[in-house]
Amino acid sequence: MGNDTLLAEAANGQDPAEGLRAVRALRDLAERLENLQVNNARSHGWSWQEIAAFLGVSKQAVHKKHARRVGQ
Amino acid sequence: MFERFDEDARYAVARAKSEAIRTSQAEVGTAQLLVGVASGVDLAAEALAAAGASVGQLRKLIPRGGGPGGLEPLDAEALASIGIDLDTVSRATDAAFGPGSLTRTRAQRRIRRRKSSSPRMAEGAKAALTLARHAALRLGHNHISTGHILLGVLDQPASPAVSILKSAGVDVAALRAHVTQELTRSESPGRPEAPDQ
Repeated sequence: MGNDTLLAEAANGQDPAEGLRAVRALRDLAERLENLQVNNARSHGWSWQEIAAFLGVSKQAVHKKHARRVGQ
Repeated sequence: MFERFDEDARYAVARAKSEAIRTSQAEVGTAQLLVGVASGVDLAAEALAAAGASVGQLRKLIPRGGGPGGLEPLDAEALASIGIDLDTVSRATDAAFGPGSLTRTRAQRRIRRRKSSSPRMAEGAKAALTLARHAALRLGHNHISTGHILLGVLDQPASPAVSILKSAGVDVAALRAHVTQELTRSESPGRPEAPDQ
């Protein structure tokens, strides 16, 4: 079964419980990847503005979310 | 509201509340009611266990509260259901950021102040208890038991509880029929066998 079939099934037939569980897991994964990639960008000397541009959010949002965690 | 509930039913509701607190849920929902009923030792609990929905099985399928991420491991099975192979992702992050980097980083959690009061009943759970009363009336029973509560939950096909039962592979219609049959039998021992409806 290819990815297309899986995604089609996920979109059409899935029980709300399973579907929402998948969304939550995906959101969790996205959050963790964001942490790793923001750290990485900062270690490469990127500014909050540059990181925000790539994430498609405001500089303020990125700073508020990550600055304390990263340590500045 | 609970005047006509028998003792087992009241315990089931109390256990549902404990379950909500235990899993950091803000409300007591139909899923917690299911766990409350399944935790008993009566006909409703037995029916659930026989159908493949014991307390242990239910708890595996009921999500914990408290927002995304936090301290729990990533849900590989849920990701696989939408075509994401967590192993592949982990290998990539291990290579880029060091072994175990994906598990060591945590999703941000908004600091939420814990409500000190006990969790309230969700609308669906309240509806289930009302339907339980209707079921008891319909069957001509004096008290509302855990069996009636279970029927009240099952009579809401769009509820999280029914959704969870289905994902546990439970035949909801069969369970409903079985519980109704057992309730009818247990409450009227003197009645001659009624023909199958």
